[in-house]
Amino acid sequence: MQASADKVTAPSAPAKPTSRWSRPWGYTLTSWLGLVPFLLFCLLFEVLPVVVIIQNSLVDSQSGALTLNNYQRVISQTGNLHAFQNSILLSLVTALSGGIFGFLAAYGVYNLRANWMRNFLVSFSSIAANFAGVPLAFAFISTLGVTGFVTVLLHTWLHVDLYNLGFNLYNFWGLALTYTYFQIPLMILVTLPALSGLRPVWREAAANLGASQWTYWRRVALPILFPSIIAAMMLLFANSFGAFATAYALAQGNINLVTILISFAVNGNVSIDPGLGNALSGGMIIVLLLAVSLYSIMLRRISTWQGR
Amino acid sequence: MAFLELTELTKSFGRVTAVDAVDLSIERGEFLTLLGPSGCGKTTILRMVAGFETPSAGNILLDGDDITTTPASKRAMGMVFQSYALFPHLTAAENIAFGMSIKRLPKERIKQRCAELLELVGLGEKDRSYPHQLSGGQQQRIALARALAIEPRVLLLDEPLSALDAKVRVSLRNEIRHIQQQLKITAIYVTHDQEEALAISDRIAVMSKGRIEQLDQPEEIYNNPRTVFAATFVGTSNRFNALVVAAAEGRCRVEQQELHVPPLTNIRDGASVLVMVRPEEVNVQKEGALPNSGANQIAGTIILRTFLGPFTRFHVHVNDETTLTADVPSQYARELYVAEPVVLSFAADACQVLPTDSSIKEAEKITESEKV
Amino acid sequence: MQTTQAVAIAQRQTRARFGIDKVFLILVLIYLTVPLISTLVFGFTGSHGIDFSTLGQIFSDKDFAQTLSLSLELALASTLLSVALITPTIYWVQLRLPGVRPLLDILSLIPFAAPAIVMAFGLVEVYSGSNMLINVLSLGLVPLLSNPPFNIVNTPPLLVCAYVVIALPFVYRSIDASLRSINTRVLTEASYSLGCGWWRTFLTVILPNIWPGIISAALLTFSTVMGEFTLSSLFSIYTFPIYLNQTGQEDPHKAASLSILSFILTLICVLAIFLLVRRRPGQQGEIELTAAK
Repeated sequence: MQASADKVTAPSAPAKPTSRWSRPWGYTLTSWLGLVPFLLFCLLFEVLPVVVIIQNSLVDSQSGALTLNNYQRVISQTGNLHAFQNSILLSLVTALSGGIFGFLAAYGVYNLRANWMRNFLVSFSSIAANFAGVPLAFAFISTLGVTGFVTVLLHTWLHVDLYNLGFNLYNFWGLALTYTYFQIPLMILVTLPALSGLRPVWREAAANLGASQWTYWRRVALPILFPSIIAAMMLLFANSFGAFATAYALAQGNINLVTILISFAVNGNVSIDPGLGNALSGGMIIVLLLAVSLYSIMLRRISTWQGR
Repeated sequence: MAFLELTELTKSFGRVTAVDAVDLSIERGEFLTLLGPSGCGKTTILRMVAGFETPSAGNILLDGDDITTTPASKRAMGMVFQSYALFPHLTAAENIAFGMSIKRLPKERIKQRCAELLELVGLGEKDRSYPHQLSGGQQQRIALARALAIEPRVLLLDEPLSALDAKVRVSLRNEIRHIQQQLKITAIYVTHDQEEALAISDRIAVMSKGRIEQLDQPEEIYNNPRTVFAATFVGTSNRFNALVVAAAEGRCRVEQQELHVPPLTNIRDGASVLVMVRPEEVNVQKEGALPNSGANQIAGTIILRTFLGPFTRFHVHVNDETTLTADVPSQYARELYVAEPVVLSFAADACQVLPTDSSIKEAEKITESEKV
Repeated sequence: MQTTQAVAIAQRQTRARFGIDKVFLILVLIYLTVPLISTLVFGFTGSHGIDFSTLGQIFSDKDFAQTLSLSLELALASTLLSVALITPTIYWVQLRLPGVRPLLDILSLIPFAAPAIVMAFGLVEVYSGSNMLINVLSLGLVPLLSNPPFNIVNTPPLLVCAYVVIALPFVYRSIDASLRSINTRVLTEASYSLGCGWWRTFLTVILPNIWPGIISAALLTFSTVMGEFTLSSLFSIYTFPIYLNQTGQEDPHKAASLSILSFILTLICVLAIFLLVRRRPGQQGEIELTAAK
């Protein structure tokens, strides 16, 4: 304290007047230099692809002039619009199904007394959450496909013919069922830390003030968990919306989804030209940005409440 | 019949007995503190009274009603937690209103009572603040208001001040005591800080290993501890292992030195005893000064001098195994320095004598565990 | 007498609580295991009982070994690159440029807004086309890389870099959480005061303490790359998941066995996380085991 006061009152220090500035400048410069490899990498492989997509989506693929034509085609052509509707609906449905069941299952895991059981289930959840893409599609075909194990089982043992009853693994709902397979474990994994943040002392305080179990959940636990649940569901939404491999392996283009359409554009499929492909990608980015923003807002709310 | 009665209250966790057949009677409007080191069972007792733990054996009676099996949400006891436990998604006022809204009190009444309680704890303008916007002390005051809002029959406080800064602790403990006296509410307070306990309690139950060692008013516990644990846990003292020479005359021998203590009853000649003297009862005088009237005189050399504000603490080396502590009001301590040969003196009445066999070892164990 | 009543009530309460939440857990577990069992049965039962012939066919297929080894190489390269690039960067930022954290947060969230398919599309456009804006923004590096001698469009190196970007969110989150759980700044200052320089501090003080975070980030990246289909398919690089898809589309029984193989692979990765992370005594195994596909 004394020293700084002296510095203030005695500016005529023996050191060079520039030295007080150059050190901070040099320090900051090397600080930024240390960041360069990473920033360069992100620029080249993360940022520029997004930039080029946005740029090309606003440009006519033949003439090179600025235009909103590509986006117009996305909205006007029913196929494209339908793809967006399908993708968004699929993502909402699986976010909700994965969210609700995942939350309830997470609560079950959280309440387990045996540590080994909890660890086992967490590991299992992470495996299941990772088990997406092509192998998952095959697994579901093996289970609920036309000659799948469960389909055949139900037919021979219970004389229930799934496909006659209208079930079809290869349509929207079959895909939703398949997606839920990795959405639920993802929800479990993301919700468990949030449940741990629910301090047991709050339950005791609520009970002490006269709240029943149900009242505690309704007025304390769920409101506190609300940002975490929303953030998790946004994560699930983004996960589902951007998924490609599972849909591709399962439906092979029978289902109209945005990701599949974009893959046509990359493959040079005649029905989709690059301009449209860029606009579709741009549309995807916009939808996902909304989800990610909501996710970030919720995360910030969680950290203020937790006081961290 | 006391207001709150705990009869043979026991709690075991597997093979560990946390609370061992404790009997406790608390009067209406009394401020009782459960004092002891961590693991002594004080918090477990509090949690059983609150209803968060089920007793393994024993009963809890409140105003004649047996509440041992009543669920926590129906006991009408207000609890203040060590970690405040304010609901983070509610404002201060909403936190306070929580218990009342569960009872479905009319909105006007809730609002009015919230305002009253906020005034009572001195946070009138903070009604719309969220817990994360309040300091620790403020949060704890809101927690207190929240507990009082439901008009509890008993107020339970679980080490409410341990998470706070020293200065806040002192002012808040006085506020808690003041509010308790104002509202004439029965309170059970749990703490490991003996200074806190001495300052604000009507009675203190000193606990160790699941049992109550002594239940008395603060001054009694301080001046007349009845067990070794109570004596060493509350306050500091000098300790001597002594052999009783003549019990009726109050004479003991510590190594070569004879000690004069109050006349002893219930102790035979030749028994081992623990003699304790509080540092503030020990006078320090320079060697060669006029002899003091204290019955016990011990010579030694000052090895450490610690200025503690109102008084100065001296550590005096008597022999290789014994270092005594003496607290002297600072205005009389000015001429005493380290390496000064001095004479310590204290009255016979200042000694507390407890019969025991391996007294020193047990006392040392306690202070060692407190160091950690 | 009274307390045995109390104990009984408490037991009944816990048992009642047992019912509600565990039911959903069991339902979910059934839902998660049935496909696995079905696939197992489907893949390994032929016309007469258990039949591992599909496995034999797979293992003898030349493409199997080739694509598997390619995927392993890619996974290893991506893992090493991502950990080596991101860990020092986060540490550096925490120490020297804490104000830059928001920028890093945004960079780590971009892959959520631009998932694999979009990234694939963008990368192909950046490195195959000639775009004035891009050339300028990249400070001349993109034209450098797009053309000979690098020519990285649709090559494995580009794929590796794309994988690192895909894995960026979890690697960042995992290592950032680890660095924040240990008192990084204080440890660093203590190390400096004892004479260690930046690198030495990083290697001998920080790294050993964030080991769990690094392991989980590494293994997550590894398993993500091993299972990644979108990018390799759109870059036309023949990796293991592509092989899986091709083979599986022809023969559903082979598809099932390959599925099980893939599952076992992921199982190994995740178990490895748990074992390697738990080995350190007194460490908080705070692992985030999530991946987005």
